[in-house]
Amino acid sequence: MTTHGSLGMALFVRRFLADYGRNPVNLLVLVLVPVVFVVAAAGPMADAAKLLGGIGPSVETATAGWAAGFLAGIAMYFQTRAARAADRRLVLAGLPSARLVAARVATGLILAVLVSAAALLALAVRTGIDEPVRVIAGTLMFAVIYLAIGALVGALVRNPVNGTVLILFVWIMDVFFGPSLGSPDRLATRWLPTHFVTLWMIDLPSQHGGRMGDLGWALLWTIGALAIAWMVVTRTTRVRHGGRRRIRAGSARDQFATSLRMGLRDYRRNPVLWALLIVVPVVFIWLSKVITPDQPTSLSLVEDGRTVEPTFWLPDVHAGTMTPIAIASLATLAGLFVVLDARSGDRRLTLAGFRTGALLSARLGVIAVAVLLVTAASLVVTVAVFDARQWDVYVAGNLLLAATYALIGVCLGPVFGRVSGVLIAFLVPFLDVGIGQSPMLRAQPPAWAQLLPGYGADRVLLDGGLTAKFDQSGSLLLGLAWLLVLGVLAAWLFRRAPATPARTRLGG
Amino acid sequence: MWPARRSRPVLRGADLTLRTGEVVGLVGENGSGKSTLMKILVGELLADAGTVTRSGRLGYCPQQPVLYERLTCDEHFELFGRAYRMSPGAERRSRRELYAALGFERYATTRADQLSGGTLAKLNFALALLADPEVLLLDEPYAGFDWDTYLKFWQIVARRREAGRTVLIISHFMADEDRFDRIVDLRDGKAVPDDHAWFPRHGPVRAAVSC
Repeated sequence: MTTHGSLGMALFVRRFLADYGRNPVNLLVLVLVPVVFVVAAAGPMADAAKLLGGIGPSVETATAGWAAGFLAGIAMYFQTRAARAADRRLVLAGLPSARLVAARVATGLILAVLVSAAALLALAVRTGIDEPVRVIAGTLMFAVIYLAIGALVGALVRNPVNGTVLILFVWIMDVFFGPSLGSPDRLATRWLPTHFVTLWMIDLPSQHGGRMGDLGWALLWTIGALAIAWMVVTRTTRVRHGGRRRIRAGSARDQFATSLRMGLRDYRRNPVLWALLIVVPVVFIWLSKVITPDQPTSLSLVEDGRTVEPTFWLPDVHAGTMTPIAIASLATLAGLFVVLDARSGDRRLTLAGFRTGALLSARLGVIAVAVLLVTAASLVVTVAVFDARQWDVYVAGNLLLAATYALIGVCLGPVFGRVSGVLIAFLVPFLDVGIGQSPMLRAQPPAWAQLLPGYGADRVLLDGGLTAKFDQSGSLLLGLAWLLVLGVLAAWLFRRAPATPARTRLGG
Repeated sequence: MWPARRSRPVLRGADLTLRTGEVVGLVGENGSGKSTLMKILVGELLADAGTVTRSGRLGYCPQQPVLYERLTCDEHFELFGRAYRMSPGAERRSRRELYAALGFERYATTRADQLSGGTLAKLNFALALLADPEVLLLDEPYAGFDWDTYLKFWQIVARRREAGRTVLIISHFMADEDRFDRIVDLRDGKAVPDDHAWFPRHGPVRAAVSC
């Protein structure tokens, strides 16, 4: 950024901070929240935490983070909500959008430092600060995470009463179900935004941080929050320039972008999709945890290049092995319906001049989004009931399985049609992942199951879920080979659908 | 459905030529192959034998509204505008004119699965007209139209004839006979010109099918 640009940004940051200071709600909570939570309520809450199974004195430290988080969330909410229309006008007047976004995010970070300082000052007055680095860094992380929450709510909720109540609700859930008021090793609440930050800040190891550790997860949440805040502010200030199209109208890229956008709209407007995204993971994953009998089980796995048969406590691992079944079923249905719902419309579009390649790429783009969505929805439930040894490998294996089965769904549609396709879409993943690959039925898959598309991806995710080191390179390659073959088959079936006459002569 | 496949010969030596500025009616009893012939002409079906010749852009309105259920009217126009490779400005202009001509602008942001049958038929027809194609192929387009829209439809067809555009319409209504420049009857898989409504034109060929 040029000197002129930096000076310009500083001016905007100053004005935005002045805007914050002139909102009486901000100033009121800036004083009130640290006084109430850190100075007055910390003692009684520490007593309550002891009753709930938590560790009393740590609560007093955590209150600084809670206060900073709430203050930052409210501050960023008003920044995003109130400035939306005015910011767009600034961009329309010629201010580069990137500079405005940088100024808004810089203002947010300065506010995060300000509210953290207020909260830490209150803590210093109340109890003193034993481990300054940990406590100061933790409090700042709280503030940054809530900046993103405030920005997100600001972009979605215009009414300030509703917006404030929503932030308060998220904050109450986060605080009262968090690890300092309850048990630090509880899996069910680790998806809360400040779960790992709290544990690292009060120096209470979670035992479920995996290879990344509690600090790693806390930093991931913080950086992720910053990225989300940036994206949200960028989106709220976005201005559509009608005359500034960089893509040539009707080009392959233009057709791809439009059909992808429309495909995603069509997909998200399907209410069945949303119902399935909730029901299937809850039934397959959460319920499996609830009904699993208390008994041990042995599984055949590879660790350090050697085949081993460790024994697991069934309730600890069953849910993690049910996740791929939920994901494969949802992905197959997504692949099936994305292509089948659009099939006749796509034929007409192709006849009207849409390039088949652009249309196919857009459909595969929608399916890629669906794969991410079904995997994320299932893993959100899984995180609460299962602790993978290597989360990155476990997630990658599940993603590979989802992509594989989404493409199977794409292939099933044109061959079997809607009704038969749905039946087969449930049957195939059940037979493959649920029966053939299931580690609950036998220590390792039988020979016939190793020929099925889910084998490679399933071995990868089991390796990630149940062992400490990745040993399944061969299975990963096998899974990728299935993905490639199914991708080629899906493309062939798609291109084959809109028939064009072989003997057509175009022109005079 | 797989693995069952049935095939039945429908057209045997059907020849049809469409010339500039003519409105042609394609008639025939149920199952005579009218829609099949039109689908071959537009490229949706592959003929077992024969040739198809086309000149200029084709606009096709299928018998059943072929649309994306959960997309709105505006979104359909945007998508088909890209298919016809129109600039966004030209697409929006044409969209406005079609909304006005057929009277369904108030449904611009309504999803296709929430439209009435008549409005769905209007959208189906309007998508074929969007790029002002040289040849318009309409498969029973006015099945869901009310009387007022039916009259507007024929006004649009008349204007297209005046502008030198070609229109082929599959029709069952004998009342429409006088509105066509000529009528082609499909009998026993062959295209037979109807002598009573035969007004031969000699403009350039816009589209021809022989199968």
